[in-house]
Amino acid sequence: MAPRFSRRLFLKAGLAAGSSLLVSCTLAARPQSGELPLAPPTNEHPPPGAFGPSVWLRVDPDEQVTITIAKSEMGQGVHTALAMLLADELDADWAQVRVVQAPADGRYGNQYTVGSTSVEETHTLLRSAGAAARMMLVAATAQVFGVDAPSLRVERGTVSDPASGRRLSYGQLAPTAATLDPPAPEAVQLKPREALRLVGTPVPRVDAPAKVDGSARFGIDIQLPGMRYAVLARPTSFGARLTGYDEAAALAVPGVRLVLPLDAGVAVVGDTTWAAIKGRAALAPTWEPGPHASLDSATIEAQLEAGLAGPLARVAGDAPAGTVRRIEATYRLPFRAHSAIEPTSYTADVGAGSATIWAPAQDPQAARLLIAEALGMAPESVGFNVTFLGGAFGRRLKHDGAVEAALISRAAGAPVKLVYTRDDELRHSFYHPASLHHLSAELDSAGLPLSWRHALAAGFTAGDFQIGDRPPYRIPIRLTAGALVESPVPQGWWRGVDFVQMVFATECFIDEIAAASGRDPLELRRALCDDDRLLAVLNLAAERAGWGEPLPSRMGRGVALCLYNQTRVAQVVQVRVDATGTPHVERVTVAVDCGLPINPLGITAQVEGSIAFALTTALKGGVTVAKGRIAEANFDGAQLLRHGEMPPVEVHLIEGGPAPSGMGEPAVPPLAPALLNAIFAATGRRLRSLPIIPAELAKRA
Amino acid sequence: MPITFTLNGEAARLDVAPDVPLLWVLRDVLGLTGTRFGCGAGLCGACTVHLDGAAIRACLTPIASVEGRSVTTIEGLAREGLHPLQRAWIAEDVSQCGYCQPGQIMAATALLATTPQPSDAEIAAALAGNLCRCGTYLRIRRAVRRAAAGEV
Repeated sequence: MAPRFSRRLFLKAGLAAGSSLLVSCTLAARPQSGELPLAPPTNEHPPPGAFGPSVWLRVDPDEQVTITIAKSEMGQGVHTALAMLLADELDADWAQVRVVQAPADGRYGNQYTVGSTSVEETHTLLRSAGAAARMMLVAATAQVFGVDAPSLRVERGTVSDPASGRRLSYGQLAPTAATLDPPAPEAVQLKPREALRLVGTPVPRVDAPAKVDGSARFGIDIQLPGMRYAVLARPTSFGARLTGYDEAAALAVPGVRLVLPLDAGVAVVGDTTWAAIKGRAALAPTWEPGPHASLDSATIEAQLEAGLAGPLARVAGDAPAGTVRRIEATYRLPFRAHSAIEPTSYTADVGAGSATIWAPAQDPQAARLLIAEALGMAPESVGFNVTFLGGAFGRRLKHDGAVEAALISRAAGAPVKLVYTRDDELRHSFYHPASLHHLSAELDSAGLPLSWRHALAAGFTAGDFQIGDRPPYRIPIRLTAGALVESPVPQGWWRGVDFVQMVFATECFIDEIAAASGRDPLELRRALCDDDRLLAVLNLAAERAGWGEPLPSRMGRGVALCLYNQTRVAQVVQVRVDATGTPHVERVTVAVDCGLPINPLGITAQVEGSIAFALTTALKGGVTVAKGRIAEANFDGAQLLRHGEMPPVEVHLIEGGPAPSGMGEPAVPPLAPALLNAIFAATGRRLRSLPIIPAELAKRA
Repeated sequence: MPITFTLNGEAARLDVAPDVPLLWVLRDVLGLTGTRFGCGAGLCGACTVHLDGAAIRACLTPIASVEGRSVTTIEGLAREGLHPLQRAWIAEDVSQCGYCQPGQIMAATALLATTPQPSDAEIAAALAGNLCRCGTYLRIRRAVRRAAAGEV
């Protein structure tokens, strides 16, 4: 039964709002008899005369170039940046390029969209795909004109023969190119830097039009004929057990169709989302609170303290020769929620032998496997379409809800969209681990560090904390180790991953060393930095920020560095702290080296977004735990940064290497330490935890 | 009893319960999914639409309360092509994930209707209830200024 839904979705979507990316996907996906309802790569089942040399692209006779992106578009701009890489090598006319989202499909390789790795992982692959296709189009021209390929000239979707003045477009060449063999991989040569025309230039996002006219389809926007809507009544504390519910009361709500108990909670299914929400309210489930009902933030803090008080506390060792003083400090970060504005949803259409899923997923292949296993189907029988993601930030690496949606659809005998309400989203998520950091260092007579110890207690990120996670400074490491603290609070990745914790502690502590030594924080970093590219962004940010220029009283500048995989970021925050202790970020100056900058417009956007994301935690905090659950149930509790609170951001780029590297996250980690360091410069008060509490900074009378 | 109102310039007549929020009528009954669900409590602005030209939160608006009135959603903002603010949004490359942007645009168009040349403070005040987790606030402000200046 599943195959027919693709076409029906197209019709409905077409009626509602015109074309969209998803419509393009489903058009391409329209299955042949006996095939899976899964969009095949764009080079399969092409229209007559089309040229589709790999899963990544297809050139149609009408000149349209379709580029398939297998990573998920969550706002970070992969649809634009990755397509630019391929299109540049192809020498395509950018105006003729359309981008489609790949479904979950192993033929695209790894689709896990995490840790700002999309560009670093796939740039060579996608550029090679474009270059190989260009070679084939040139070879096709040589064949048509009867000339040697090297004599031909390629320019913006056309190939010409300068000797005769003849010219053919890619669309005209497609049927001939489609008959040729691809070049051997070793024969494919990428353009030298100076030959790149699109890469390195500011290119507006390809998804911009659909995102301003309402036509972009996010997971929660999927609509299928006959579709039902579901919400889950969920446990009221971590580990609570369901003891009862009033099914009749829920079913008495107009529009409610089905009540279905599942492991994760009780599903209420209705004709609209509203009917399901009202039905859930009437369900009145009762819960046995379980062993964690009294868990709160203070308990968690004590658990972290106990983690640090274990064996790590004794790894101190003798002071190195030449030590004149020892300093130490303890830093804390709270649990943090992702708070994407689009709540989690999964739409499932489960038939007798196959299923189709639509979801905003960061790891679609893993989600597909989970669903296949739960339904007792082969993975190949589960089609998994990836929609636009309305923010993700690591939340959508966890695919809770995917299996539930599939099970509800099967029980309902209809397509079902399972929707998380905001309280579901805030209280039933996977929070970035709260952490407690203890750092210490011994200093010589010049105030330079002779040793460095960093002990961390946290959830799963502590397990990853190794000796290799060292700060980018020439300091002998005595200890970097993590104590894994188990907790009933579900935990997962967040924008900036474990760099958020490491850079926070490290960049605050290096500032404390500078203060203890009477050195300028910038000068100390310059003296110790062991990475030339990082040093270059540090110098650029400091220069543009006017580091060292006098500021009025209660104003200060702070700096922080972040070496995030291959990307280097330096930030200088300028802050004014008013008499009430409220910090006002007046200016953030950022220098970035992400190697070859693919799209400066996108890079700047990611820096701005990263600063807003990090500033939210610094000023508004994370989430707290009370009575065995997350205390905050909506945006009145879990506050986000607002219009008017966003500081001016300047971004300066250095092209520090030949390979591009990720920009979705690297500007998140340094913001909070740079801000706390600026507050110290402004007030002399050293803050060591987030959020900032203005009362602690209020001007003393 | 059916509810009658004007939706994006056309007469609409619906037989739905009077207490259903406009948001869910738009999304689940009419398929106008550009009006987005974010919080269900008037705290995020993703569901901002116009009621008789003023920006309101569709998630807190019972459908019965729009009887006889005029509702405009992002899909009906421009009669043809794109509204100048939508063009300004593209020109400033505002969107990242894009989910909240229809609500931001509806709030901004309502602002410009009453305040054609808003100051930065007026922009911030009018849009303070429209949250963007991607942090596009600087570009939104530039887009509103650009549209106000007629540079689209």
